[in-house]
Amino acid sequence: MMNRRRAILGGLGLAGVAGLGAWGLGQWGLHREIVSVLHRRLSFLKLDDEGVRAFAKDQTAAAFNKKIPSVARLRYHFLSTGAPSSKRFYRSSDQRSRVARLEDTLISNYLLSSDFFSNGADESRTIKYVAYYDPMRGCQNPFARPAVDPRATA
Amino acid sequence: MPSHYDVIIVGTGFASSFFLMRYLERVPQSSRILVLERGNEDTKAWQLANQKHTSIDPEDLVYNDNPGKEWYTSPGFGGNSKCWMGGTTRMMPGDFKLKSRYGVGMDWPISYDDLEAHYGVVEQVMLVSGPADSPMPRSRPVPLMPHRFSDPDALLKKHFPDGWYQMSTARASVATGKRGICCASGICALCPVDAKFTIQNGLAEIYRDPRVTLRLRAEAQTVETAAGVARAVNYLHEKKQSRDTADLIVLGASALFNPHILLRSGFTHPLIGRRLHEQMSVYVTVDLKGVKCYNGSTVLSGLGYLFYEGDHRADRAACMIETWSSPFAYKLDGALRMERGRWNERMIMGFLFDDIPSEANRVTVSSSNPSVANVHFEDFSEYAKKAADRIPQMIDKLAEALPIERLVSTSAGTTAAHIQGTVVMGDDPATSVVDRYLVHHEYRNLLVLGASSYPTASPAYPTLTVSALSLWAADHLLGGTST
Repeated sequence: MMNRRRAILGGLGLAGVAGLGAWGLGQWGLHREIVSVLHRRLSFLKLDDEGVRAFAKDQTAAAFNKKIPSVARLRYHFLSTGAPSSKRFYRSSDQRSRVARLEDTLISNYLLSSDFFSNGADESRTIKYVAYYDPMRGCQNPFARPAVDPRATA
Repeated sequence: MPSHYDVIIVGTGFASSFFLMRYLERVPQSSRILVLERGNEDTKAWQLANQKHTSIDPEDLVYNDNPGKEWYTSPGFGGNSKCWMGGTTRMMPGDFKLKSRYGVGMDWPISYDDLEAHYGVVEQVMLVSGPADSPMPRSRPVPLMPHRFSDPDALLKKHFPDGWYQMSTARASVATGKRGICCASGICALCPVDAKFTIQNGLAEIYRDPRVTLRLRAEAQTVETAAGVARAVNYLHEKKQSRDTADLIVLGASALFNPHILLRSGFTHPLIGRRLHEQMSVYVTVDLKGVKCYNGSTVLSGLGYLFYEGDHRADRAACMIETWSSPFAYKLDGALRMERGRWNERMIMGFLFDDIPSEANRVTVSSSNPSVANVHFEDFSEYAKKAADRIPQMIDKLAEALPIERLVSTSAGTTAAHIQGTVVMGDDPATSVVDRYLVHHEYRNLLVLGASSYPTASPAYPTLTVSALSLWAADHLLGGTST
């Protein structure tokens, strides 16, 4: 009886260690991939290496911090997978691959998190990471202009 | 021990709140009003801290048997005012007369003129921002100055002066004293600066009126009737079964839960729950040559009416176009253009088409759990799809004003977040559940408010009409006019 319990606990312990290992490996892999994508796709810009790594760390944390979906949401996703195509309205003509779109979103996130747009999108300057882009902080859209143009009333 | 009230109102969203606002203006101080709200009062601070607009998962209340079609809703105090984006377009006159003007769908039993004054009142209460000119007739100006166009909007306005307008919206363009100014963050459901009108920041005081008893966590289950009169509401409050009576019963629980409550109550009209519909939405991304985008002052900065009214409505749906002015808005991924010097030369537009409701699309009561609404949606009408098929021709027309380089993508939305139909209004009791004043045809002291009464969709956002209809219904009930 005791041996069996030990075996089960041992198995659970090993699974836990393996899970933690996979978790860590996943984070490390994602971090590395983000750094690689940014350097590859933005090779024509000067990137601050330390800032890129800091962004990759924050982006990885954001990806891993996503809340665990509720049972209802999981059920929804499960059903959605098997839904007949005639009942799925979300069809896209986007020619980019899913990976390319993910990369585009990642790069957008990086640039919006940097001083790039606040410096007038000057491509000759070294881009510095400022803080992870979070629209929840309010008024982070670098392109938006106020309804009342201050120059018009000056 | 049951209590008796002058009125019991179910729900605290737009429909219920605008009705209550007008009701309190007209009834004596001795009146007693009970309001039942299924959810909690999730304050703005709570929403921001928890990064969600409701403490109830809507999917725990609704079973959707078509995962390809979502229904976006926000249970709790303030209802969908918590999660809406703040679009406040009026319907066009032709939307009310689809059958008589174009020979399709059905007419509403009321006209644009019937609602015009009420639209104006709602715009004032919500402090709507909008253009000085307007594609539809109006008797009073929009309260707040318009939001700023994005650069492509300005080009479209210049080329199509009668076809392109600044957004009509309850996202404030200037300081209002209560709300922040919209800065196009693109996360309206949790607006971090509280720029949009909500029941919580705009009408919460009516629920603090001494005549009103607000009961949160109170799930209205059934409306009890006898001898042609609605008598009582049975509800579950804090897990205890309750029953209260009233002279007037008002349902304002959304187009998902108004029919759900009526069906649970044993109402048998064959149209209850049927004709569930909303607009068909398609998102289009185009690249522009030399025109910078996302630089309006609000998340949706322009509205196109070029393909809205006209004889084409006899054949295919009307279309309203909205311009997105935020690089990060909901599912719009990859909004920046990955080319040197051209990062924001990319434009995203939403095309919204009206739909001819089908009786096959419906809400029913779950047999396994009567607290849950089953939603069954088969498809949009061919009328809507036929119009959506013409998007390439519409883009060609827009290209007269915009230097469009290429069409990047089109994708159909899974929801327009506008739930309509299910307790349809009309003059004929055989083909409608409530009359033109939203009074039940058979039970004359029962009102069913909200977008559930819509006989047909319109490309316009529904909230302003929902709110105006509540004032219209209240004025009829109590006498007086909108001021």
